[in-house]
Amino acid sequence: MNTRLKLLGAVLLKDLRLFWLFAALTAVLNVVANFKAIVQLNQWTTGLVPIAVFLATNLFILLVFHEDSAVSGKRDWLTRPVPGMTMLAAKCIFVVVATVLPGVLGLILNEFHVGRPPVVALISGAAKGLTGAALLGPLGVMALAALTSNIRQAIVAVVAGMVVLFAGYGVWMESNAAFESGFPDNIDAASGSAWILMVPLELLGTLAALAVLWILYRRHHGRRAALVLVGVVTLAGGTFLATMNWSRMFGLQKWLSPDPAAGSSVAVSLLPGCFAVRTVAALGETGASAAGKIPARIFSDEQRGRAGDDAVAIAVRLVVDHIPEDGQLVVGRAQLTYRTADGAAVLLGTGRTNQRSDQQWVKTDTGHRAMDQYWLLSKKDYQRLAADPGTTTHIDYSLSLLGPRATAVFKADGRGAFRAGVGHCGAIASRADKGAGVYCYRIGSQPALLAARLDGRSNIEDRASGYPDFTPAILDFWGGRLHYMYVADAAASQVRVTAYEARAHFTRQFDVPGVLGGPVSSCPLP
Amino acid sequence: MIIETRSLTKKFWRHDAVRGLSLAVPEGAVCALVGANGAGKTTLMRMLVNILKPDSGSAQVLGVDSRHLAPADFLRIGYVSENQELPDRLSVAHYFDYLRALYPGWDAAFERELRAGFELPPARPLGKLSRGTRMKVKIAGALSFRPKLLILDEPLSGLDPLVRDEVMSGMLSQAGETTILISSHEIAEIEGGTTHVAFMVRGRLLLQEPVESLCARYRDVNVTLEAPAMDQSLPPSWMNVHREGPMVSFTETAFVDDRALRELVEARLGRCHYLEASAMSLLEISKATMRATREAE
Repeated sequence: MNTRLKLLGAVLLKDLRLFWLFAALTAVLNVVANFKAIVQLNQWTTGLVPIAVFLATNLFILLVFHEDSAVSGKRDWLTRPVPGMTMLAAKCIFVVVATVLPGVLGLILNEFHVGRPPVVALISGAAKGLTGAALLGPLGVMALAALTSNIRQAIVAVVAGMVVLFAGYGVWMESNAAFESGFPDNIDAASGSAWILMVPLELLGTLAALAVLWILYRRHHGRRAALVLVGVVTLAGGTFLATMNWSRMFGLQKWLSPDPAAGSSVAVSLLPGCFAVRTVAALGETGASAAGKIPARIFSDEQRGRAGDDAVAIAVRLVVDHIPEDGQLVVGRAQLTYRTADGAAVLLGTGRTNQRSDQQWVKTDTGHRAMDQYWLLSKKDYQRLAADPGTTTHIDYSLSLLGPRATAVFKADGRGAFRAGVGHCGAIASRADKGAGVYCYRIGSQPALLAARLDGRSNIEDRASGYPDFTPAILDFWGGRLHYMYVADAAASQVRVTAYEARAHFTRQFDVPGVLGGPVSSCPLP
Repeated sequence: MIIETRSLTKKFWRHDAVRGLSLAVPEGAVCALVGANGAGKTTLMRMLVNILKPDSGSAQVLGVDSRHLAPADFLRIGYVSENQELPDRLSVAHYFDYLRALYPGWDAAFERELRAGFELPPARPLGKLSRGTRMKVKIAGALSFRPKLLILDEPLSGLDPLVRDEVMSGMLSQAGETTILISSHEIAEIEGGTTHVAFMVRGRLLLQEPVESLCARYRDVNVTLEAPAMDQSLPPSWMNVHREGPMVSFTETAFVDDRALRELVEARLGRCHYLEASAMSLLEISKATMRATREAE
């Protein structure tokens, strides 16, 4: 063991002597890149820092690995008494110390800078910086560096890989009109089902990179390692194409429901009457409509531009009833399709929701929960659809019912403690606005949703720490996550944190005559 | 045997780099592996140190199958190659610091001696050294841990005569204690001090033998006959036979003594007016062997 450590130290010292300047530069760039206050200083730093850190980090990894290549038969170390795995360990340690850890440090500093307490900042930075996804990038470049026999070949491979990736993605987007159907820009936003795509890809990528490195450094089989990489890329590509379809993804999600029958008791309906409609030009205003407001910035400039200035924004309100006590409903996705009498379809794609979790659910006059979904309809499409009296509106909702797995009630006194089933939680009162920042850190598998509210209030006031995530516990074993929630008016009160788990995933479809919630004569354009 | 290969074969696509090669190097030998460029010397050496895997056959190095050589085995094996890439931006001193940490049996005094003898500049980066000085660094790095076996692939290629002598004397200072296998496409470079020699031609081993017995049995023979030579079949031990009237020259590969040679020549060619059998240097033997092989092919 001591010999191994001595060898590891010798290789590390040699690499440090060779690359100390570049390592220092890469480390500083990684700190800066994760410190948002510096990155967002001006448009130059916002544009240049991410590019600089990407180039520096990847070039650094390539140089460090190519210094003692496992593929080239000309390298000095191959005939020295250095075990392959010791060499690999030394390289990995150097890369982690010069790239990953400075990134974590940057995240910690950033969290501290935005006002998180030191402990929370520390945990949050580590949790964000050491996720599987964050480590996969360097790991992939390490594998690629190890697999190529010289630095030029490695750079060409990295660039070619990226070109193929982007070109393939672009072609796929164009050919499948995926963007129009809202995928994948919305896939990770609210559905909680992105894991079906991402986790297998992450696991495959990680396993492939580890296998390539192991085969190269332990077994010295360059060809086998290349075959493994090609095989995994093919498999990953196949998985991507096979799962990158919402109905298939949610089909799998439904199949994994722990209690499918629970969904049938939930009553959902569309708010009767015409949909709330605004012209795109009028979206700057925040005037109320029959169904509520259409927030000004709900659509991106790109979406508005694509729909045209004369397009209209539509808000469709979903009203929910009979949710079990302490349960939550997640609208994973709502897809709107118009069908004309002659069978033609106009797909508006995935509806957008309010990005602020505290503004997603509202209470109707009847005391029910309701959520709005927003779409853009171009004037040209409207005229074509409105001209056909047989036009119907079809809306397809993918829903998930959550139930509480564990709850914890505690005072906002700044003291953190382990709360069973929830994690290590604490709440820090803010004197300025009488609110409280609630944090919970949990290692390993995470709840589908973690939310906080004032104790004694209805769970409609739950403030979630983020979007739901239905990753099965068996696949959610790596790292940890800091959940941060903000509860208003928490002074002198207790807060209740609830860890929700998925009970059932189900779909509901609605068919409405006309274009804007009724016949054109009853529901005209504004 | 320190090195023993059996029917070793390596192909690169359709090119046979090494073909059924069986080589044996005894302990304490300084074995010169000689062959033209492309003869397969480098491929053979790379197989011996497990950089390349043989397609068939086997190689035992220090009693270990070369395919299973572990890092620990390289505590006893030194390998120096003309093509070996060093960490160019490391200084000479830092390079030796690195190597010293890898070998528990590193002889620091011997390292100092070699570095002083080779006049290696400690602060200069390896990438800025001349070709000869780089080779000296490699040799010093390979000798300082006193390996049991030293494999040197074209260590003298392209070096000027003075540096060549320095490098050779550095290497040979270890002869006896260390078994050395040294390759070269020109035997004159490595002639002095070698105890064994092996000739390779197009992936095949033509011969391997102690230098002493090889030199003893090879003779450059020039004969003047009393009458033009008879057309008789010639002994298989004669190579490169050249006849011109009564004058005949050839290389005898099974020389015993002058009398036996004269008897053989007179029995096959007729009475000799004049016969001279000169001893051959390794270079001459090498050239004669290669010429004979080329003609046979």
